Amino acid sequence: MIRIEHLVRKFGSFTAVDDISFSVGKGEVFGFLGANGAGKTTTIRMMCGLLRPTAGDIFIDGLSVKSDPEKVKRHIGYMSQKFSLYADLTPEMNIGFFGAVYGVSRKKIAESKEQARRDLGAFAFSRPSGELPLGYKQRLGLSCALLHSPPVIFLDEPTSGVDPGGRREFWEEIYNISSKGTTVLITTHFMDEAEYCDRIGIMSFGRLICLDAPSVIKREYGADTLQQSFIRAIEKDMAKAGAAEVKE
Amino acid sequence: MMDALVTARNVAKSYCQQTALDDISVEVPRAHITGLIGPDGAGKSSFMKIILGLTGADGGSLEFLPREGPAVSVCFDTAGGRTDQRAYVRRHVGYMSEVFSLYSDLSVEENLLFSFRIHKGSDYRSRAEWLYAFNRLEGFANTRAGALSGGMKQKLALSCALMHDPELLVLDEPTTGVDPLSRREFWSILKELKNMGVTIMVSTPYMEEALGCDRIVLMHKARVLESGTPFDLLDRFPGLLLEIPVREGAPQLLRRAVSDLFPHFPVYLSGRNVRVMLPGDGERERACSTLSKNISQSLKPVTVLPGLEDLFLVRVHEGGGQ
Repeated sequence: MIRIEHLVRKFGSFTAVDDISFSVGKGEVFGFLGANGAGKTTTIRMMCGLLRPTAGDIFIDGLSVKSDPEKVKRHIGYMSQKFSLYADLTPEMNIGFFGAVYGVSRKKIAESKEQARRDLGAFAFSRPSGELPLGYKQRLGLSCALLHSPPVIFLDEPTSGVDPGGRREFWEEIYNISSKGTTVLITTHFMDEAEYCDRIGIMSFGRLICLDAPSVIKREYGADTLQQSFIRAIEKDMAKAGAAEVKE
Repeated sequence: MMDALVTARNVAKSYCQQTALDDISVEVPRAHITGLIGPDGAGKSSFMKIILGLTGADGGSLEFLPREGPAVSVCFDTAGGRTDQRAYVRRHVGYMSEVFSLYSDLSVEENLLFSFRIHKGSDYRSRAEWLYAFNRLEGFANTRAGALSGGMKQKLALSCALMHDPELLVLDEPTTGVDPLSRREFWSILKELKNMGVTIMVSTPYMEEALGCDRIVLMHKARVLESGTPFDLLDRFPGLLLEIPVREGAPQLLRRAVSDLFPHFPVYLSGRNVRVMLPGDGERERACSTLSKNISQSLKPVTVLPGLEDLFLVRVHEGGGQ
């Protein structure tokens, strides 16, 4: 469903993404991890058609991001913790707005509004979205990103700051979506969350240094937790990068 | 008796008839890290704001016992002592919010200077030099705060909160959006500060971080459910934890099936596994046979040791859910 082939992105002389290739299957939940500045956001921006690759290409549902960036946008949904809703608009207005932007049918918009009214309760449904509890905001953000039924959805740190109970409700929702065949690509800084993914990829200095199921990665790094595996993988890579610098 | 820097007694607060804090009594021990945990809306931020004097309470009292100088007592029933509290907080308390309130168009140095001036600290140069070295921010003095990475912004926000050498540091979810390596560095800085005698109060939604606290206060629905060291809390875990690995199919479907079988026990996802807490050892055999009879014989439940995340979910479940 997502195929990345020899993807490179440079900003001047700085290489943010350095020749990465991987694929994510239909209905898969893929965790995309890495330290701040490792190249994750740059990669996601290219997947969304917001940034042109310097070399290589990305295929979303068979469409090339390089030659069809506008078409690609209709095949993806995007949600982030930082921005997904207009805080001053009510949930009803947010659904109406995103539905109109994506050209969703009136019937579907009305259904989504009805669903949100049931989920949130009539009172919260008529308040500004910014006043909703974090867990509600997040579920509403997800519904808005899914209004146009995209085959692929990108979730950028969607559970940042959400408590353990709220995070579990969100993950159940993610599994519901993936069970229906939607491909989910998710970034998180919390490794216990990465345990929920089918597979994870770890980026460091623009390269993909690890790609496998969480249980396999833990075994590979002889760690009990993904947190330990992540830190070991990144430190090993940093030591390698340091050694290369010394050589030069 | 505990050597507490802050003691809150029977603190109550409501906003528009909604109870935010209901009879909260908490001691914050000196030179320790106290973690405030609980579901969203439990009252953690409200409690921090009352300690900081940003808002008053409807009843109860607060007492600060500084290392030097007289005690500061605040009585919310009479509103006595609020002026003393504000003066104490301005001089001796550092605060960092989850949004890292930095001026993104000012440089690192200018942010530090601003914070120094509003807190009326003394000897700017030596404090700034010490913080640059302590928080590993050397070489960034002239960088615009907005251009820093998440981890560096976090360290700058912490430095601003430390500019006036406070004895109490209040941190409201300080690690949101920061990567694991920066987070690990941040917590090692907090531990160093504690060893220097700084008292720290921190809230976090992440239980792996709560484990790094000396004491935890678990709040739910405006009340304190439990407090103690992380190990005290885990020792008091009220049952036996069974983990059922999901071999095929969607984890949420198995979770729902198990919840239907045990409607009164906490059942939740843990990674791609389902966990259920049984009230005691005696229930194990019966539970396993119920699972095998009603769902599948191929389920292989194993007993696992609870972590803080399990404790959180189980206690919130007992407290009537979210």
